[in-house]
Amino acid sequence: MEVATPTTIQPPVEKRERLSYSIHEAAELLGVDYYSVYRLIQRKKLRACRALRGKLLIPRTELLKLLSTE
Amino acid sequence: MLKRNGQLCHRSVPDYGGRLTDFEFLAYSTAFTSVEEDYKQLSTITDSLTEVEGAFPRLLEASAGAPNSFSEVVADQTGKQWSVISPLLKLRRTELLFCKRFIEGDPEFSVIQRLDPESSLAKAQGVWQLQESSNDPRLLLQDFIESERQTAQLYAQDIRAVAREALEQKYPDRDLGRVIKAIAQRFAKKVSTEEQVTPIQVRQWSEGVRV
Repeated sequence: MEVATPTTIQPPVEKRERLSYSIHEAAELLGVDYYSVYRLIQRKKLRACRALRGKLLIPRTELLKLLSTE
Repeated sequence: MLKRNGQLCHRSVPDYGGRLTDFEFLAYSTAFTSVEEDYKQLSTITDSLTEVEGAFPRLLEASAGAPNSFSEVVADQTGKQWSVISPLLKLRRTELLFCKRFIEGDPEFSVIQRLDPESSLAKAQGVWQLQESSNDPRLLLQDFIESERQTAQLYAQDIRAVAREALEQKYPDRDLGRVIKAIAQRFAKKVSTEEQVTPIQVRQWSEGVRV
């Protein structure tokens, strides 16, 4: 008689991807100085949006666009 | 001595004319520590820009040099070769260089950015990035300084917002308007050009007049 191996039921792993990043986080992801991220924004090479208190945020899609080698 | 909510206002902080209570001073110190690295980076940038403004005559003189007078040659993202006249701004992972090349005997000038070769951005877009170019070195340098000062302003504005958010999260029920104002003034002073070089001085330098 075959004994069924008990299987552990894992809760579904919810993979939540961030929608946006702070300037410091974006700089880390790009591997540049914080100032370079502001340069990219100022030169309209990277789009940023503002949070409630005026803090700049970089949408994930914008970072991906910048890092795509095409 | 002035008192606020029963606390003495006897603490002073840089670039702020008012006085803070002990609690406000503690909040200021906490918030400023969280953005201190940014403050240092902003200081490096504004000091470098002031140096570039001060070195305007020397840079213009150097830009007139023959192609063989420059030792370093770099290639931008399109493969064009540029001779490096002088570095303009150097940060930990980035450098901005004032460069020159000749097209059919006529000089062209540029600002080229060097990224850290190990960075994700450099891997995606190349280490050397042409930022701007002109056949007039004077206009190019003036535009560079103006543009970098605007970027420094943007940086300072954002850091003020970051500090404000950190304070409101840490002390949600306290009125820390003065602390926010003190931090804002410190950053505003750092990016202010009032005590640095006046536009008239820049124009005089750019016209070859030494003051």
